[in-house]
Amino acid sequence: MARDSDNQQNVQALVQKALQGDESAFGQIYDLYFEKLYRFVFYRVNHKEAAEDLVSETFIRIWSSRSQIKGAGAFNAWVYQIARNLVIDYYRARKTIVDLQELENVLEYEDNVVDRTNLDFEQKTFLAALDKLGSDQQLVIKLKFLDELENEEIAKLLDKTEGAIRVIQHRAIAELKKLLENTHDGQ
Amino acid sequence: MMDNSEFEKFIAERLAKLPRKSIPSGDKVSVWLKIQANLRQTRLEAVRTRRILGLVPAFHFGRLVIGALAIVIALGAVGAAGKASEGSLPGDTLYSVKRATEQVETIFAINPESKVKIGIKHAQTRLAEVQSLVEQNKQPDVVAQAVADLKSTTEQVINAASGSQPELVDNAVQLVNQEKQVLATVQDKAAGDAKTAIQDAIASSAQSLDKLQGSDQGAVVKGTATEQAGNASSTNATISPSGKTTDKDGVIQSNMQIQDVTKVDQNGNPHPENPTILSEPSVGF
Repeated sequence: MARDSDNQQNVQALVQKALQGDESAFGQIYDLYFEKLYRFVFYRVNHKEAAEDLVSETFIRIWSSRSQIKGAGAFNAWVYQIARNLVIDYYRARKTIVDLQELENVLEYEDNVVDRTNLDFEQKTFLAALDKLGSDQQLVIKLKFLDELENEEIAKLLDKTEGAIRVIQHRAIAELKKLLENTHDGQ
Repeated sequence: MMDNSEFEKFIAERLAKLPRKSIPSGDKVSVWLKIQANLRQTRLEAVRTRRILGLVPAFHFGRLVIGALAIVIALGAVGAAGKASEGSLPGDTLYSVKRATEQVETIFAINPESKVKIGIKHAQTRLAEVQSLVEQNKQPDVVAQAVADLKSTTEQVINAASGSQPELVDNAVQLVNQEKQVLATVQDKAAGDAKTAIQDAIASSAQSLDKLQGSDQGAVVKGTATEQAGNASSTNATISPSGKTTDKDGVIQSNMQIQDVTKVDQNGNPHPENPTILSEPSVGF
C-alpha cells in the first residue's frame, strides 16, 4: 500500500510539472497513460488507426488546455472526458443524422470487450446478472472494473458527483449479489 | 455469505477473468511522434502570428534558408523526442529514444578527451537510473540489467581514460568513487538479483580504482625506452628469467629503466648500484 501511495505521489508530481509546461514530464505522463487510454478509446471505436488518432488528439488537447486543468488531482478525470468527447465527435463526423442519446451510448461497449464465444456456465450466469442491472448501475460497474477507472474519473464522464457514483456502485453491488444468490438458490 | 466489500472483490476478480477480445496494440512511438509534430507546428504558428503582428521582424526566405530551416526543424524533432525521453527509465517506451540520442553523442565524440567526458556523462545517467529504479521498487531483473549497463559504460570510460592525461584519469576516478557511494546507499533497499548485482558492482569499483590509480602512477610515455621496455614482449624478443630480453638478433636488452645505473655481475645479470657522483671540473671555459 505504501508503495502504491508513493507511486501515486510520483505521478502527481509528474502531472504537476507537465501542467507547468515541462515537456519531459509530459512525455513520461504519456508513457504512463497510453495503454489504458488506447484501450478505452479502441473499445469504443473498434479501429486501430482511429483509436491512435484519437489518443494523439487527446494528448494534444491536454497540452494545449493544460492551464485550465485545476491541479494534478483533476488530471485523470480530464483525460477521460477529453477522450470521450473526441469519440463522440468521431461518430458525429461519420453520421448524417445525429442522435445525441445514441452517441452518448458510446460509453456502452461491452460487445467490443468480452469474448462471448467460450464462456463457461459461471461466466454466462455472471454476465446475465450484470445485464439485469439498471443502465447507470451497469455502466458504473463496467467503467470501474473493466475500464479500471477511479470514481473521480467516472464522475466526470457521467457528469455526476463522486458521491453519486459511490451510491450507484454500492446499490449495483447489492443488486448483483441478490441476483446471483437467487440464481444459485434456483439451481 | 460474503459481505459487500468481499463481494466487490469477487466482482472485480470475475470481471478481470472474463475473456477479452484481443485488440491490436497501439503504436505508442508513432503516436508520440505525431503529438511532437503537432506541438512543434503550434510553436511555429505562434512565431508566425507574432511576426504578423509586427512583434518579430519578417524575413524574406531564400531557398537555402528554407532548406536550412527544414534541417533545423528535423533536428528539432529528434531533439524534442530526445528531450521528452530524458527522464525515462529502463522499461519505459521512450527509453530507447534516450539511448539512441546517447549513441549519437558518442559518435560525435571524436578525440579521446571528449570520448571520456561523454562516457562519464552517460555513466552518471546510468547511475541515476539505477538509483531511481531501486527507489521506485522496480523489478529486480530490471534493476540488475541497469546495473550491468552501468558497469559496461564505466568499463569503457576506464579503458578510454587509462594511460591518458592525468586530468582524465582523475575524472574517471571521481566517477568510480561517486558510483561506489551511490550504490552503497541503495544496496540495502534492493532485493534478490538486484542486490547481488549492486554488491558485485561495488566490488568491481574497487578493482577499477586500482586499475586507474596503477595506470596513473606507471603512466607510460609513448616513444620512450620505458615504453619499449614494457612492450618488449610484443616484439620478437624473448624474456629470460633473469629479466633480460633477447631479440631475434641476439642482442641482449635489459628491462631495467634507462635512468638506472647498472653493471653486470659475474653471471651477466643487471646489478643496480649507487651512481658515483663526479666532482665539478676544475678547468674553466
